[in-house]
Amino acid sequence: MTVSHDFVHSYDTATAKHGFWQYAFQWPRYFSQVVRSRALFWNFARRELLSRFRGSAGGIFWVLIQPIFQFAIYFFVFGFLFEHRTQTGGPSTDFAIYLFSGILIFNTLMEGTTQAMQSVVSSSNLVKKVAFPCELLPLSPVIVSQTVYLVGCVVLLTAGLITGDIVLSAKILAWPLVFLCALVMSTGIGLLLAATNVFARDIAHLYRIVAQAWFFMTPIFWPLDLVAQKVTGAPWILNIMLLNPAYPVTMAARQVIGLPESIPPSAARLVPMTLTGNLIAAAIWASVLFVVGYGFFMSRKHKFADLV
Amino acid sequence: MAQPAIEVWNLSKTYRLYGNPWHRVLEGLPGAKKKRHKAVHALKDVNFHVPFGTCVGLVGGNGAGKSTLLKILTGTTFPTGGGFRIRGRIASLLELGAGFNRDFTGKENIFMNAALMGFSRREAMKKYDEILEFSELGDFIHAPIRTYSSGMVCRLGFSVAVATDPDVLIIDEILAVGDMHFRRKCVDRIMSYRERGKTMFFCSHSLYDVRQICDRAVWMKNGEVKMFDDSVIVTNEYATYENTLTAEAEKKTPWDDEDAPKPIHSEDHARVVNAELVDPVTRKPRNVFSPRDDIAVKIHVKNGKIYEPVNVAVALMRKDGTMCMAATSHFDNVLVEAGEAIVTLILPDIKLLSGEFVVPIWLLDEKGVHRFHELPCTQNLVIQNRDKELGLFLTERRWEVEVLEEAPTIFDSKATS
Repeated sequence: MTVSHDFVHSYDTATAKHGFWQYAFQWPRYFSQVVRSRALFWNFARRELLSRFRGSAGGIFWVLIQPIFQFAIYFFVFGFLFEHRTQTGGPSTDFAIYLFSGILIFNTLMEGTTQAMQSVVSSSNLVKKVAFPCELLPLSPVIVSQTVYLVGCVVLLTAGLITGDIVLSAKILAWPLVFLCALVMSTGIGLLLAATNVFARDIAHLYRIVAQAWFFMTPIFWPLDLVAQKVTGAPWILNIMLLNPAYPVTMAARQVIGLPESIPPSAARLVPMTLTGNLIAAAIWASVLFVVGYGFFMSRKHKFADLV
Repeated sequence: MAQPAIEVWNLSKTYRLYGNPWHRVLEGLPGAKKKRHKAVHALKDVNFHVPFGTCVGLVGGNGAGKSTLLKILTGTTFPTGGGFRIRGRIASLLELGAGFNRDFTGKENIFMNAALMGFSRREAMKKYDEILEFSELGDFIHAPIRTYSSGMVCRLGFSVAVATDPDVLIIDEILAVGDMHFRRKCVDRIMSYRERGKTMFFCSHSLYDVRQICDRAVWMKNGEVKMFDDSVIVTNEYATYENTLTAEAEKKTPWDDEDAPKPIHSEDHARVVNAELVDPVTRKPRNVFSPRDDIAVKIHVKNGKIYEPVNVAVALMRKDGTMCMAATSHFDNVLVEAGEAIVTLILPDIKLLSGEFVVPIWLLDEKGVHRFHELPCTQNLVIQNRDKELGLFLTERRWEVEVLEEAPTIFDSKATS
């Protein structure tokens, strides 16, 4: 059930090329494809979002309820039970906010990419029977997780403003850039994983392990200056930790809401720590991962129908 | 000459089968030399052209490569050799309801499918009423598809698929769905495409459908095009081949059959030296005929040491062992009284329709009781009919229509169906 809008539909093995670089350089086509197939794309995204809550009485409200409870738990556990102490002394809620803001963005990346990884394989019926731009498949779970992230951000901002840990400044205006970087990065990783998963299903198990290591490698519930103080003798360890695609975007997500990010100025490092620096680093990571992911996905796409 | 709607050249498709998922990984590693896969050739060097406005049927056994060919033309899978070109908007119906999600309502699935086919939301809105009306689902359209019967899912799938107005329509085995009423609607819709001069590529196991709907047909066998010709000729040939296969599967050859006469030949008695099918006019060997042709069987008979007058019997047996005709000389009061003779049986105006027939010859004694010898003709009789007649044989006919009630004044076959 496919209608090709091209007047001539042809393929010749003698002239067809499926090179990685050829597609990698055509990355802007992904955006024009999304625009051209926007009806299909919205249907995919809508289906993805609705199918998560289909049949549940709470429906879409779970998207809101879940982060509220998540924050409430952090608030209770780290603010009262463990009485996490800040440098100033007394029990505080700032750690709950710090933790919540990190987990929010990291979970968004993880959930988006993990779902995207399965997107082609789980739509095997479509991929086999219908000719359609299947590079749109990994995008919809990413869009959905980014939407959930939006709701989480509202909860985070509300909570932070109430406790007084978040101080709004002009930096908040850079927030859409953080969102965009996370979106493009997840799409790139999602495309890469989705295509790899078609050829070797092992990647799904492997990625689960990698994701755990990645979570602990990213400064989510430990502050970066803790490591910076430990490794002053060997600054390369810090540099390696900073070469983490999730690092700049996580940092930037905190900096735009005014969470302090202290690091001893003595620590030698490659990546600048300012919001601008983090945004540039995040944008570079996002672009590289997207171009690689797109190139790989498109160069393997012609084999999908035979393998899913 | 106008350009063809579908062009296919040297099209090949080879699948790689790996015994173990590891083998695929190992073979993909750079520098890997050892081949770890088994190549399966689904399509081998397929070539054909389909002119605009032609309806082409695709027939062939299981695993002949029909589905692979359709998938390649649709664009879901890609060939490993050769290429193809299709001119015009394509719509393909490989599987009804392929994109359906069971938890969503019929309406939601209509929009999903329309989007998959490349329609914008506005175009889909325009088509929605037409789809709903054609599917006859009524209020069920707002219920999740998992509550539908399988027939309802098929109806919705077909309705969505035909709502598009393509130039080239590719259809896989889908007409065998729904109840009689809906099936008729589907066929009507497909016939209307045909009448509007659309190009169609149509795969079916129903040879009757192929013969009725298509102008030409492709017969695929083991991934190759065995025949590409007028649909009547191809379906007839294919049916003959199928019958032969059935016969072979049952290990039944006419002269092994328990009911068939047993040879009791010895040097002492009469025997058939040679028997062949010939042209009744030129008397030269010929075994391919058309219905209503005259056919002749030339039989060389030689008597043995013990002379006896003999009767000759000739039969036409379909390859599955069905005796279609038998001519015995003693029923016709002909007795061969000779030491050696050429006996020719002429069957004027043969009424058989397309098929391949074995022609066994028997020599019998004067009373037609004892059988001396039997031998099949050197070649089988092949009948090819080039019109749409169906069945085993042709017969004279006459129709009578007695009107019991006058037709209604405004007669609309669709409204009353």
